Amino acid sequence: MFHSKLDINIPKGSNILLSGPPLSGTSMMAKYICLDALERKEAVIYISTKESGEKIQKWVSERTDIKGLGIVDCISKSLRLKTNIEDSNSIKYVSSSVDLTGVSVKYSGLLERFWNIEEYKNIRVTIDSLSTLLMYSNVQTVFRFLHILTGRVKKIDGYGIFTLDEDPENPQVAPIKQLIDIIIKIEKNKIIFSGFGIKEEFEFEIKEGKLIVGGKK
Amino acid sequence: MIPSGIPRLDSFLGGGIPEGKTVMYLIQPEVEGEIFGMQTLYKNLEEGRKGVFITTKSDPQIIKENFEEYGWDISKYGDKLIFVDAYSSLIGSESDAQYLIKNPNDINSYSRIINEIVEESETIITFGSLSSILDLCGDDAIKHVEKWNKMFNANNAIGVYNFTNWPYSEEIKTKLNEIMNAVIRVGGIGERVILGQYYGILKVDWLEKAKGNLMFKIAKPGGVKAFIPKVLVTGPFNAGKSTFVRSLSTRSVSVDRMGTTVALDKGHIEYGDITADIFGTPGQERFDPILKFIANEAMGVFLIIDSTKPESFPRAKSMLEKTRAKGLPLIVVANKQDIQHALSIEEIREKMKLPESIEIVPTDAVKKKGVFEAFEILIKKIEGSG
Ligand SMILES: Nc1nc2c(ncn2[C@@H]2O[C@H](COP(=O)(O)OP(=O)(O)OP(=O)(O)O)[C@@H](O)[C@H]2O)c(=O)[nH]1
Ligand SMILES: [Mg+2]
Repeated sequence: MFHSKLDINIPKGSNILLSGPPLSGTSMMAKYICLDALERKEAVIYISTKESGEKIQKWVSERTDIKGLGIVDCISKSLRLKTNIEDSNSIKYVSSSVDLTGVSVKYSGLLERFWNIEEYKNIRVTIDSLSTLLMYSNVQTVFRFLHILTGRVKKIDGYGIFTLDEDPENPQVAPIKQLIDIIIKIEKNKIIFSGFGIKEEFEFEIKEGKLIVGGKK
Repeated sequence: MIPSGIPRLDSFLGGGIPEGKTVMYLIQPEVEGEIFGMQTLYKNLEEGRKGVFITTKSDPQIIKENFEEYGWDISKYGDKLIFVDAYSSLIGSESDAQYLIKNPNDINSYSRIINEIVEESETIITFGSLSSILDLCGDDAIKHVEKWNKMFNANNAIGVYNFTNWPYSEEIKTKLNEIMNAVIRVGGIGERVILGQYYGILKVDWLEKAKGNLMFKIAKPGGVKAFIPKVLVTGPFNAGKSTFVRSLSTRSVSVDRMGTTVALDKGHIEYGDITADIFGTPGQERFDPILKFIANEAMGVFLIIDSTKPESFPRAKSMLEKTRAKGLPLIVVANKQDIQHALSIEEIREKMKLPESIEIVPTDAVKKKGVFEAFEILIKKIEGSG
């Protein structure tokens, strides 16, 4: 199941682009989607280029159990948010958002860990956000990285969810769309799915720290 | 020759890396391989050589911290280690590196600095990530790499490259392979997720024939450690299997009842730069199903025989045929050689009708005589270098 409140069927092994204009709330939506998965005993690997791993872990821990959450933190080291940063069991650090090799090593380590725990029915990998990766590396470089990651998502029959703070129709990101099965657009209070012959729209709001979703439109 | 600093790799390379040569670690994405270049550099700093580290993905301070994660303090080498910083300009921050690449997107700016610093023999020029230089500068960068390699060659310097093997074009891959003197593949094992890691020789142009493959683990601290997940010890009843496992192991347990093994012997071996887990099977026939179960996924097999008991050889031979059928590296250990009427190696070969291709190693497992020699020989077979 992709989400417990959204009446939509997305095949496992899908790679999903979660897009919207800057400040439209793609990061927040990505976190709420992960939260829903964690509550249903899925494992989540969250690759963050915007917020520190500790901050994300805290946000989740205020809402649900963090056992199934693994984070790849791409900013704490380069912004020196802390000194003497060392990997913990659930938060792994990468030198910077330029270091895509490092990102791939760290998510792969977390994958191995969750894979060996039977309790997790599914694993999803989230990147928040592709836009940061595209700021530091050119689109071909990000494409090659995503080529490996989306392939891995298919192999484990999981979900890949990648946020993008711009219009996916933007020609600059066109190559990346080849690797994507489904596009989710956030527009004001609407969440729109397209791909695999699906075209669905839901209304949503965030109320008292909860994601409230309306029926299909 | 300089050492590669990687367990067992020097023997695959014919002793080490000759002066003037280049080595590329070709790293599968998702596998922790960039440590290979770092380890080669660190080993040589330790031995008093000079080194250069070219960084494209973080500033020198963070690189130092990365080395520290493996227990390697590089700050103590002072000006024997030079940093070339191709990262700070990229994100617009300050740098205190000795050499700053002002335009990391322009391959000429690398060439200028590399020209300047390559003057001495035995200097190890380490590229933290050649693939990211390619990403930044485009495919044309390869022509420059080719020139750098000629320059290293002329100056007896040594070029060490980490390269993440992203899905680049075949052209790039072929060309890269051409311009390097040695290429070592660093890869992952596992169908759906990566469960183990190995390195193996793809090319060594200063040797007639070069081969070798080995699994590894990364220790923090410690770095790359050769690792053999499963070595099997089998053989007839009372041959000395449990004793053999104990003699090889730094830690071991066996489940024995009245002096015979009723479950597995388990041992962990740390020998030189190799670690291995070793499993001994019970010798009695009623336990054969266990043998079948644990022979799966074994990397190599010791067949222990009691050199004083030719009547047990047929049983030994049938156990040997079972494992041989799986194509596993195997050696025969002729144990209890200390006992007077023990048969000699030649007599055993003759009686068991073993071809010359199967090695027989004499041991006295109680006094630990020959056991490590046997281990060495099996490891060489597992590596594919023996
Ligand atoms: N003299 C001599 N005795 C040995 C040697 N190796 C083992 N033994 C003795 O042989 C006996 C059997 O050794 P184990 O190591 O228990 O043999 P095993 O193959 O594990 O036996 P099972 O598990 O019962 O099949 C013990 O009394 C050992 O002390 C050796 O090299 N020389
Ligand atoms: Mg025994």
